Amino acid sequence: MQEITEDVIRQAAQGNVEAFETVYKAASSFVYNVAYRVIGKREDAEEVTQEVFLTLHHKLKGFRFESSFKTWVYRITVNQAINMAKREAKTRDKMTSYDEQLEVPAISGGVQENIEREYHNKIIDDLLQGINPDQRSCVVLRNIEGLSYEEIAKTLKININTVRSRLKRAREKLLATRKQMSYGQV
Amino acid sequence: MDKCKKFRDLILTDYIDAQLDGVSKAQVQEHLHQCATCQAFFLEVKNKLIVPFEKAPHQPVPTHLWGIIEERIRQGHSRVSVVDFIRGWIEGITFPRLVPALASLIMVVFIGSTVFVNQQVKQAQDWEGGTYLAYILSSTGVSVPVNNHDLGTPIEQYFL
Repeated sequence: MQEITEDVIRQAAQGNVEAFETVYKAASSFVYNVAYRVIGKREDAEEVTQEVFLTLHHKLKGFRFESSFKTWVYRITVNQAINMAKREAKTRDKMTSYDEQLEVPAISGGVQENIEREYHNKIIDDLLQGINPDQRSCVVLRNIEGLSYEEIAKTLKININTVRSRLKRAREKLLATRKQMSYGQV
Repeated sequence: MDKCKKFRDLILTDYIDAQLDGVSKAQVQEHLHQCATCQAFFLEVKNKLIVPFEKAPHQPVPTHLWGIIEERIRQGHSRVSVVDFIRGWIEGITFPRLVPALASLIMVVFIGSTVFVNQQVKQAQDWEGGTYLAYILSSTGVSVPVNNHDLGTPIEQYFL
């Protein structure tokens, strides 16, 4: 997430829409991408992004700068994304076969860059959908957004050892899933 | 093997995520130089779990999203304006300039309704009183006319 000055945050808190747009521009990529990776659906990620920024706009007046603004945004985003992912998991069609989830198109050597990006994208989508939302949020914050264990612990309000154990279990499962996948090594 | 298990746990988390301090990191690296199985495990974790995430592109934020959020923020403000409007309207009723006019209107309505109700009650009493008296007198056999126009008809004279 890009840096946001305290002055901009204060102006946004006072109702300045342009200042709030600056906050949006700095944070929207993080919010949208975390939501998308945790939930796995673009439409739901859009909805979560909207809700996150409306929540921020609503609660910005009460932000006292006692904690990091970034951590606050991370927390709101991850909580909303996990809630959405859990709701989705309950309503998801249970008949979707495991093999369908793992299906990734085979590619040959010398592929275009955009095809390769899409290929990695598909792998990530499939891998992440195989672990629970709590583990998924830890993996996304660490592997995609690059947060440290301490930052993840603060964001999720959990012990740092819980972060460690969630990552370990998630990766054990992801590794087993990767071994089952029919495509070759990346 | 227990030693390898311990190192594999570190490889799967703190080592691969660069969260170890210098001493612990050196210990893991020394073990990796000595143990081919753990070395293979490290490469597997790196290639299958870390690299795909590093290569996965960040998704571009849909361009229309800010417009929707901005609109929803403005709608939120307009909802507040409606509430303010209703509150202002209620406050306007009690505004001092409107009090005399409102009091006059209430007085006119009160007086008018009082006159109308009195007339209705009087009419009802006149009718009910005359009918009741005629009934009492007829039951006692005394014939006293309630109204003069009740006497003098042939049929009344026949019975009396």
